[in-house]
Amino acid sequence: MRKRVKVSVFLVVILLLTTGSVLAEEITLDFWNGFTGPDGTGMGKMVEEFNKENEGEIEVEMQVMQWGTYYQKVVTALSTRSDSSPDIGIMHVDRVPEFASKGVLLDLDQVVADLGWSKDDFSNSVWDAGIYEGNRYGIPLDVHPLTMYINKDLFEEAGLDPEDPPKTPAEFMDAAAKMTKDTDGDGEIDQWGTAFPPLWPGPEFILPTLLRQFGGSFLNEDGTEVVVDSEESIAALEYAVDLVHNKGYSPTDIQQDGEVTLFRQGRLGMHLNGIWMISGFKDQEGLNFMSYPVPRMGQELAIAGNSHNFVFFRKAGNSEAEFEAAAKFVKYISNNSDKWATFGQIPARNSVRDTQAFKSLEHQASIAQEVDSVVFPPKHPIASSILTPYYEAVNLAILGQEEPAAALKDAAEAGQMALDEYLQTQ
Amino acid sequence: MFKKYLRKLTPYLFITPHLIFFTAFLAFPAFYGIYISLHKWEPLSFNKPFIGLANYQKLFTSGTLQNRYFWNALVNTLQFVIFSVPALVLIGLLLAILVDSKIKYKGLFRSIFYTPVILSVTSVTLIWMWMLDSQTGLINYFFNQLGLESVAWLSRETPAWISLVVTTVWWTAGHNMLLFLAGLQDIPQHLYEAAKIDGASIFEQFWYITLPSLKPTTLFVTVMTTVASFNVFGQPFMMTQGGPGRSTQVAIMYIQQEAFTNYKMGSAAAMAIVVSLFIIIIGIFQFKIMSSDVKY
Amino acid sequence: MQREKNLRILTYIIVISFAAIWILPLLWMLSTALKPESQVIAWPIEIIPKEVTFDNFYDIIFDSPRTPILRWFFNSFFVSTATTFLVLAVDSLAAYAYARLEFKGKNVLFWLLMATMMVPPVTNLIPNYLIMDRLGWIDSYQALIFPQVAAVFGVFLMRQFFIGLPSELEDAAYIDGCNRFQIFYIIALPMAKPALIALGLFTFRASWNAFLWPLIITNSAKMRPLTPGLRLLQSNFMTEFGKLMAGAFISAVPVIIIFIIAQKYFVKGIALTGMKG
Repeated sequence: MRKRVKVSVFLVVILLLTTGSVLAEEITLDFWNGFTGPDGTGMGKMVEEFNKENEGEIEVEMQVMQWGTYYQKVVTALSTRSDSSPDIGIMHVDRVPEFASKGVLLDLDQVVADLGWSKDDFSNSVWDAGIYEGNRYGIPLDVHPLTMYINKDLFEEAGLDPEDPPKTPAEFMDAAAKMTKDTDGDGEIDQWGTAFPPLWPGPEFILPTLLRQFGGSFLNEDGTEVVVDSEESIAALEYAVDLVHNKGYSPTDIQQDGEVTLFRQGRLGMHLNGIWMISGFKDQEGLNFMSYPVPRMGQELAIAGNSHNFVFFRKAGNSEAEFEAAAKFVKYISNNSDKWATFGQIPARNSVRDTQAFKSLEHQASIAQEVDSVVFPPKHPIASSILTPYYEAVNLAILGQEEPAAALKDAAEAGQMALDEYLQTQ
Repeated sequence: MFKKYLRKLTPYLFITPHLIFFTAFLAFPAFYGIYISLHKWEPLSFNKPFIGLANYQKLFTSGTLQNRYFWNALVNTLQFVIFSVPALVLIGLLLAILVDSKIKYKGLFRSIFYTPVILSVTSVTLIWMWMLDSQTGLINYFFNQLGLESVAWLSRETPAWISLVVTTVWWTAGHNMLLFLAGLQDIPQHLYEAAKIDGASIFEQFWYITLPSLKPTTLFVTVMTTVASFNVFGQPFMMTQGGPGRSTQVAIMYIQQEAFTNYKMGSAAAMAIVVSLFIIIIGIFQFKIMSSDVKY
Repeated sequence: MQREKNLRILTYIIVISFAAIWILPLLWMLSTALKPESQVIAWPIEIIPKEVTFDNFYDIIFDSPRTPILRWFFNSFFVSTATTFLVLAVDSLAAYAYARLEFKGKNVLFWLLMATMMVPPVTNLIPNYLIMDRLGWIDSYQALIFPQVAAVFGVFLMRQFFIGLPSELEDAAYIDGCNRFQIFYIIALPMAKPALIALGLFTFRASWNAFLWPLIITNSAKMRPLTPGLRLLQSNFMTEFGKLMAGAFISAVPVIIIFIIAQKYFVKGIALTGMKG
């Protein structure tokens, strides 16, 4: 009996293998992204499921590399004659204009229309963010804002309510002050209310959040001037520097990921970092934490974030069939983006955020309350060249090596040089 | 007739395989690099117009981004050379003298000092990033034990330079040690014996025999170390990413960034040529100075 | 006598303290790699892990589809071995001709080769990248291997060695009617074994540890060699030093083993490649 089962299983396998090779008209899609962490494992599983469902028809091959490398490689791969170039990819929404302006992305208006998607189903800003010069090039998958992680134990110890986290500037400052202390009595602070690190994600997320909250921006309206040295911008940076150096509610000179370690060790009250940290913190034994939207620290609520967008590269337009297969894949992933959320993201689609499945994700759902306040980096083809000097200025100012105003003036100058060079060649 | 022809051809058959690789990936690229540097060469653009010396001009006129960042990076590279070369040469020499002295387990010590040399730059930098971690690193742990405050090794400028140099010394001083060791073993033993008879102390022997005899080795080691230090990339790339700000960004890092992040191949090629000339000139200069001294 | 004894004690103190500094990072790497992740960041530090686990090794070897460390291992091994064999074959052939044979253009060619020894690797970084792009070789083994074969150092080293060998045997063989290739293969090459081993070790190590070129020339995780691959373990999410140290350890082991086996040649080779180079 058992032997017969074995034999038939064997036959079925053989059958599958041979039919598989007979129906070789399979479409292979190279799908590139920078999901190197647990999100990559998650995306990998979703791709596998998609492949299983579409066996014999579509095969998606996923390539993962670090985001920095990814963007380098995409450019060179697209200009190469080698076979290893992507059909579809994930791109941060702020990088879309850069690639769209080079003409390597396909216009996706038709795809969106075919899928029957519209603005109504997406959170406000993220839908518009994928449009460059009137055409859509990115289909948003998720939103990943800066998040406030709190250590519940430290909150309770300080007499604060971990269920009712700070929401206003005064509440935030008060909580930061209460949780900053010397716990072992050696005269040195060893527990901090919050942390403004001079390295990632400080310059890239925390300071842009403050900048927008204080009413500043990176570029002027018509995109001809870099205004990171505006009064608002200086005020935002001074706020951070003051909190670190004068008030002392944040450690100084934090090394890369140093504040993450502090939070994991239970020595940090309110930790600002991307939403993607959730699963890592869950793995930390003995860490009793909760996630909330970033509070208002300036005049208005704004939370810096980014969004992963699907883009189609030129190669995907080689044939109708390939293009359709790519659209099918995007639809599949998007429909299942509640699963994606479990790897630490907020789905871009309202309908997915309203599902029970998403709402049961305690942390993500809590952060998603303020999804409409999420702001994205400036939409500009050379946004990264304009922003890099700003990041460097923030780095130096938070370290205390330079005065905020002077550092930002430098940054505006360098950013302007990059912008002028770009504008000249247009 | 045919045989004679073949005999004439033989040497070329011997050298051709190497010449093919050499021409394709070493000689031709050098000229191709110059060609690229004279163009506005951006990978995704279809036309790559000839722009003459504009890429070089950008480097030498103030008020451009390239000018600002390139010279910063070159000065940083020079700083790294100035900090690291003396340390690498002196510590290499010291280690060589130590393992060459009359101690037990010479082979063991030699292996210990040499082991880091065979590790890759990624292994080495990962190990040291972890050693130097400001919260949970071993170095700061020792500092705390000694009653000193923790140092933000990789995030502030001065400690970052110290970290880069320490890492490099740990990594490659063993190589210089072996070179010095070979030099030490070439010194004829009878010189020492004669000196001993004359009543020279160990230090006098070292000063009057060892050091002068090591001059050619020292020259070689110094030139090689300098050139190697000019080519530094992996340590700052992995450990500081050029920070804080751009204060530890070295030349090759900036070239790599210009080429593969800003996609300005022409401009990056021009920088590469300027840096190369710089390295070549310094190498020749150093060699000249030191070898004129050696002749005595 | 007393002075000499003091000096000896001093030497021991210095050499042992240096050795301690040199070993400590390696032990710390191993200790971290053997700790469970949650203990890695424990403060105060546990120098010797309280709880030893091989999870970090297991995880990065078997449970990391995005960072296929075994594949990187294979890539490194394949690329380094292929490079080494190609370099040895191509360089010894050329070196023999430059050392022993007379032909038109010999001096010009040789000095041309020598002149390029001064050229630093950064010169060719971008042009070679664009050449590989033209050839469609980005992200391929050829691209990882071939530029290393173009180097001239090996030719120089082997030539010096061949020149230093006595030529009587070769002359005799020539009179006996052997052709040049036979002489090279049967007589000269076996005598050059020490130089070949030195050059082989040198090339293998350089290839195994190459960083910048493989970093820019490989796109996909599966084509990365181990050295640039390890960088991928540092993800944007959380730097898990336990796993990083396990990775650093794994990548170090093969070169250390080769070094131990070939230590004798290594030291000789350094003297040969270094001093006469």
